[in-house]
Amino acid sequence: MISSTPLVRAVGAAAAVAALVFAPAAAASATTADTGYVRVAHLSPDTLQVDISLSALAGGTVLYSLTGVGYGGVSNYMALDPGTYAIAMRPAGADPASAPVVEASIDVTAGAAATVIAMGLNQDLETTVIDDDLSTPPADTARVRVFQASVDSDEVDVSTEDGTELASAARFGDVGDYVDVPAGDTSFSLVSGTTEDLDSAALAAGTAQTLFVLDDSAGALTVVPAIDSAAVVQAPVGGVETGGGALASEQQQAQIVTLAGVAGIAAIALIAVGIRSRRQGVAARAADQARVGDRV
Amino acid sequence: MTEKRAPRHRGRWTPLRSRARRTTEQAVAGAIVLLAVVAVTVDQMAGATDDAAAARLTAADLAEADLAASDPITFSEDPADLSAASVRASALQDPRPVVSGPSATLTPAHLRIESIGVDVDLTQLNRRTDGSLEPPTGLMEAGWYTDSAVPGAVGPAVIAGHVDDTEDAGIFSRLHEVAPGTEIVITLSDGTQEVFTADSTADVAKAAFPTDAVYGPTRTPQLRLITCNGPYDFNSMHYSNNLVLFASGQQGGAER
Repeated sequence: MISSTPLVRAVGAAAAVAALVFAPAAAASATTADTGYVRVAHLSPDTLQVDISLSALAGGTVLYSLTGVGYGGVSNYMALDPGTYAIAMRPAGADPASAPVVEASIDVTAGAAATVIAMGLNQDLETTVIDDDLSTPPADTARVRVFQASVDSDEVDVSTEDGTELASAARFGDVGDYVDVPAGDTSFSLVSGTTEDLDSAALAAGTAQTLFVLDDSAGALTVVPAIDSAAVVQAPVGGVETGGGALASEQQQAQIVTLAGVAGIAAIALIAVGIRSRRQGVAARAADQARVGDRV
Repeated sequence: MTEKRAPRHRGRWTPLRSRARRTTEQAVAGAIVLLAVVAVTVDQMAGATDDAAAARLTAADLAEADLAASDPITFSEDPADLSAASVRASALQDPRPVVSGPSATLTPAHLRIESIGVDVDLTQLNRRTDGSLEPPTGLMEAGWYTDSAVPGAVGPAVIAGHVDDTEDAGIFSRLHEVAPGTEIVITLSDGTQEVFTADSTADVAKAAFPTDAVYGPTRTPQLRLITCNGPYDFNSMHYSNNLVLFASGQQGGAER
């Protein structure tokens, strides 16, 4: 975000909180099977808002920029061609050319998706990268996993209200396997030591989600969900009957006319050939008769 | 269930601060922050002269401009430390997951593809008893599949329309003309607009419909427009193919 006065900059930062959306700074390439995806998560509980930029390492051109990302903010995926990219985080409103708080390079693989995570207390800020799933959950289920980013808890157990275990003794930076759970509003039990906290999230059918386990300001554990992928709730069978044939009929009628023309030409040709062959037959018979006559 | 440490092989982070030096730096951090505030304010005031010019700045210009602006200001030996200090909160914060993008209660109301003259209110489509997607009732109607994504939300939003009926051309008779890069605008029931960009079109046999590609999971907001395509089977009175247009949300997907 480029703005010139302190006032504009402050307003801009406030607005960015309401709409945390990546602004492609350059024309995004068409989505293909080769497209790779990267998103960024700010999970450092005592780090204020940051601006995040992603640029091609080779050219240095900023491809995506994201302003005013606060603690618990998980970006949408950025669609990228395979290659190596640089991600930089700067204090919200900082000059895009200033030194970043953290920066990283990430290799984007065709068809794959990854989350780049900044986590831990500000003075110990560390970063990690996890791979994200892209598969269709069974009907009426959601596919979820847990990422443990609490700086206050040594080990965390996470389960759903029906007792499905999502994480057991997960340590800071651990990521669990995906588990299929019934879709719908779901309550989670978050246990650290002798303390249990409860939180909930809406798990829509057909989605795969990562549940980020975070600390709140009171020291309780909370869950921040992010959608890794989403399909339709239930895929219809086969194709769609969206035509009656009028346009095809016009083509067909044209073809019939053409066919009639071809048939006519063929008929004329056949008649001509027939006449000719009859003539030839008469001539041949005459010749034969002549020869016979010669012999007889 | 097994837990595993997150793989770190794909990211290479550059540590910008040395913890060994932290204790001594803490002592001067406050002074540095004060200096920074003053410096940034000066920088901002200096940059306040030309909004329009600033908006046109390229990355190269910015690098140059910053070099010039920061010349008279000496922060510290390690400017990165200043950055880190300036984003440190005094206490733990509450996570603020930002919910943007359309709410699940919204529905798409209108579809506009200017280049092929499509400007139509949307109906809603469900699955028929045989599991197939019902086509819109009217020739000049287009309908949104209610079990697909709300346009603008992560996932595939699916809209179908007729190419023709037995007598006339339908709402999507020119869908095959849509070139990659074409803008497709959908207005939601609350009046907000979601803009998509056409990626490609595919001519697919209904008998081998690419269910995963059309209805399967996606990372970002996607749109699929479906109509019929030749060859036409005059015995069964059906086209044997579908034409599917694939499009991507222009913002690459709102954060959820």
